[in-house]
Amino acid sequence: MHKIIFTGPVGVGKTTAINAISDIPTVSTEQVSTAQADNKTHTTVALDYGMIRLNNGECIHIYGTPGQGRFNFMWKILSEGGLGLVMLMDNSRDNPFDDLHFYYNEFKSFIAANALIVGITHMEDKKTPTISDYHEQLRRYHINPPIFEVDGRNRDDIRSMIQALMYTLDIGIVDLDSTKNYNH
Amino acid sequence: MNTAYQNSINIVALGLDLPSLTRLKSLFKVFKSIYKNECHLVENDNADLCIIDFDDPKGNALWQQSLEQYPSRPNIIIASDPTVVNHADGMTKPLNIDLLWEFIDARYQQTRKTTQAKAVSGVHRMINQQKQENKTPVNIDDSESLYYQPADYLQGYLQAKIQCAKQEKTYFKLNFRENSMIIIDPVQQMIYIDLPTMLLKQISQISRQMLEIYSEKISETQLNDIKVKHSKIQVYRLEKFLWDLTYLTANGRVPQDTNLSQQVFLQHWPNFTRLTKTPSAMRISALLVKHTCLLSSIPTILRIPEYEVFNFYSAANVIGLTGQTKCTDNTYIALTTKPEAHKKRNILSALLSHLGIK
Repeated sequence: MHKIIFTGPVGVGKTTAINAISDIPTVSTEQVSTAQADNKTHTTVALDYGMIRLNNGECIHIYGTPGQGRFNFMWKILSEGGLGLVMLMDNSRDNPFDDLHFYYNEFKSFIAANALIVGITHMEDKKTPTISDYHEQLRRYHINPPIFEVDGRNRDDIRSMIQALMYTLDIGIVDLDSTKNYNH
Repeated sequence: MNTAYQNSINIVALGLDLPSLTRLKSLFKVFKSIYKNECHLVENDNADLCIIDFDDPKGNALWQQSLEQYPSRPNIIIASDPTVVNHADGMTKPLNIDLLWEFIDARYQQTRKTTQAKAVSGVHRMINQQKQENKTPVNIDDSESLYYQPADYLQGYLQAKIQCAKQEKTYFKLNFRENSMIIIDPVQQMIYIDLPTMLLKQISQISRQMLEIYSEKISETQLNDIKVKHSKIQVYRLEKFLWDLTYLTANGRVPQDTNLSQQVFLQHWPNFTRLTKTPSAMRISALLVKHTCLLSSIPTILRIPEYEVFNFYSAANVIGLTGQTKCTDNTYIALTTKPEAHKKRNILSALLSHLGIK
C-alpha cells in the first residue's frame, strides 16, 4: 500500500488540497468545529481520504490527518507505510512557527525515514514570515526540505509539492513534465 | 537638418536638390527595411555615411572633398551613369529602393568593422547580428562560451536598478524603444512590464551597450496612472521576473565569477510554485540541497544537458540561493557515490507521470 500523508493545523486547507489531486471525491469525516479557524464551521475529526489511480493499475492513497491536536493518536496510525509527508502551515495564524515545530516533532521519526515537504498557505493574507524564515527554522533540525507557497485550491501548486516530494525521495526519477521548456 | 542622432545611421546627402532631399528623407521613414526610422539626414561633419549626387555640377568636387576630409567614411555615388566614377560604389538613377538599402547596409557594416563603430539601435537588427554571432553552440572546451557577465545585459542593469529602488524606496521606470517599459515596484516587490514576451526574450540576450534604455524615478501616482492607461501591462513578482530573465540571459552559461572547479551548494529549494519550473530544475534542487558537488558533474549524475544545470545555477544565483564558498552547514554531504534508487522508484515515476499528463 502506497500512501502520502497530509498534515497541518485546523483550517490550513488539507481537505481542499487532497481534493485538488484526488481521482475520487474526497471522503471526509467532518463535524461542527470547536476549534478556532476563520470561517470554518466544520473540521475533520478522523481523517480525509483521497486516491490517485496510476496507469500501471496501482493506487496512491492520500490521507489527511485531523487537524485538532486531541486526535494525534490517529496520526501515527495513518502515517504508517507512507511514502512522504506533506505538511501544510497557515501563515495567517498568530504563531505559525509554533505549528511548524509542533508538527515536525510529532512526525520526526517518519520524516527521518521518509521525506517531507512543507506548503505555506495564506501567504497572500500575511506575507511574513517568509519562506526563507521557515527554512531557517527547520535548519536547527538539520533538514532542508522543499518549502513552497501554496494555495490549496490550486491543483498545480499541490502537484508541484508532490513532484518535489518524489524528487526528494529519489533524484533519479523522471517525469513527463520535464518536457516543458523555455524553448531552448 | 539635425546635427546627429545617437544610435542611428547618420547620412549626409551632398549635391541633391531640395525635392530630392525631401524624397530621401521620406524614404528613410516610410519604406520597409531593417533600417526604417534609423537613417537620418545630418550635417556633413556628423555623418557616418555620405550619398553624393554626381549629376550635380559640383558632384565630383564634393566627392573629392569627402574623400579628403573623411577618408574612412563610405560614400555612395548616385548618377545617371555611375560608371564615370572610378573606384566608387555607384547607383544608377532613378534609385532602386531595395538596392539603396543594400548599399547602406553594406557600407554601414563596413564602417562598423573598420572603426568598431558605435552600435546602431534597432532591436530587430541587433538580434539578427547577435544570432549570427551566437550560432556556435556552447562548448565545454571553449571557456568564453561558458561564462557571461550579467552587467553586460539587461539582467545586470535591472538588478542594479532593483537594488537602487530598494535602497531609495523609489519606483523606477525603465524606458525602451517604442514605448515599451519595465517598472520596478520595491514596495510590493513587483515588476510591471509593457514589453512583448518575444521581444523580452530577444533583448535579454543583447549586449547592454546596444540597448537604448533610460531610467527615471516615478511616483506612486504616476505608477497608478500608467497601470490605468496601459491596459496590456503585465505584473510579475520581482523574484519570478528576475529568475525568468536570468534563464533567458544565461542561455546555457554561468556568471563570470563562477569558479567551475569549486563545489556548489543550494541554500534551500527555490519556491517552485511561484517560479517557472524548468526542465530538471527540481531534480537539481533535490540534489544540491543535500550534496555539494561540481556543476560540471551534475549533468552526468542526473543525465541532463549541461545548459539546464548552468541556467538553473545562474537563476538560483540571482535570487541568492546558490553558493560556492566552503559550506560549514552539516546539512550538506559531499557527493561521493551516485545516489541510490528508491525501492519504490517505479511507483514514484508512475505518480509523476500521472500528475504530469493528467
